[in-house]
Amino acid sequence: MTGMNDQESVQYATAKRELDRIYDELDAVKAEFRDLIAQMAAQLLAEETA
Amino acid sequence: MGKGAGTPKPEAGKVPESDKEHASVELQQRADSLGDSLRSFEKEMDGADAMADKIKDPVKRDEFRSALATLRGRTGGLGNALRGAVAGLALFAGGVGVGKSMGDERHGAEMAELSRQAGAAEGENRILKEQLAKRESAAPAKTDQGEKAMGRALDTVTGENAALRSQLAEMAKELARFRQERDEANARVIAEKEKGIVTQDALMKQQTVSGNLSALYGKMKNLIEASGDPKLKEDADRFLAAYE
Repeated sequence: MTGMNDQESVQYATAKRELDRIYDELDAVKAEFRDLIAQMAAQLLAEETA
Repeated sequence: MGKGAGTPKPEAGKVPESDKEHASVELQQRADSLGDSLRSFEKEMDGADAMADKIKDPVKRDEFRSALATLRGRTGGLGNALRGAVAGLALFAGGVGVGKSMGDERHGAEMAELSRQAGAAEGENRILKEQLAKRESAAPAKTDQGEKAMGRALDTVTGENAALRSQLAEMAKELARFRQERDEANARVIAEKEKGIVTQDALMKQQTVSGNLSALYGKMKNLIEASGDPKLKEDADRFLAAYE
């Protein structure tokens, strides 16, 4: 098992940050998607009952 | 818009930063989990298209379709970003137990950047296709006379760009060849990754062909944009389809 030098520590931190960013952005997209689905369901319901 | 919609986000835990192997495995597991989550979400979005199609109000239906296309574009961008991150991780993991020179580090960073650029270009291509599809569906009905006049005008421009179209057709063949090479390179990296032996050679080949593919795609896109030929722009996805 080897340790990380400074360069590797930076690489590790950079990769971790990028994965965190992707996780957060995906969560945001999912939340918007759920809102959109709710809006579409409301629209369909409104059209059915019109 | 609120966050926390359910994507599992495992914490890094107490992995000691001095333990490179542990750090590499931990990040790779998080990337794998994220990849699974992205694929699952993309399937979920496919189902939403059918839901939008059932909406009778054409204006609302187009609005929902547009919003879905935007979300799909963002999701595709995340997939590309993840691919770039995985390539960077492979470079990071590739040095486990192996001393690397600064030159190697710099080269590795360049390859990771190349991968990110290729991913960004893929996202652009997807957005371009969505915009073209949207434009076609939103085009107002024209009168027969107007259509004929438009057709004549387009034919003139198209004729002037016949040479360009021929060039693009040849480039499209090359694009398809690069695409095949990239798929093969990707398969090799995945196969070696499954065996736990992701090598610099496989990764370098993957990055090189991805770079070639991205560069050719960019060149073709620029030629189409610079032509000023609206018909050619509408046909862009035919020439660029091999990139997808």
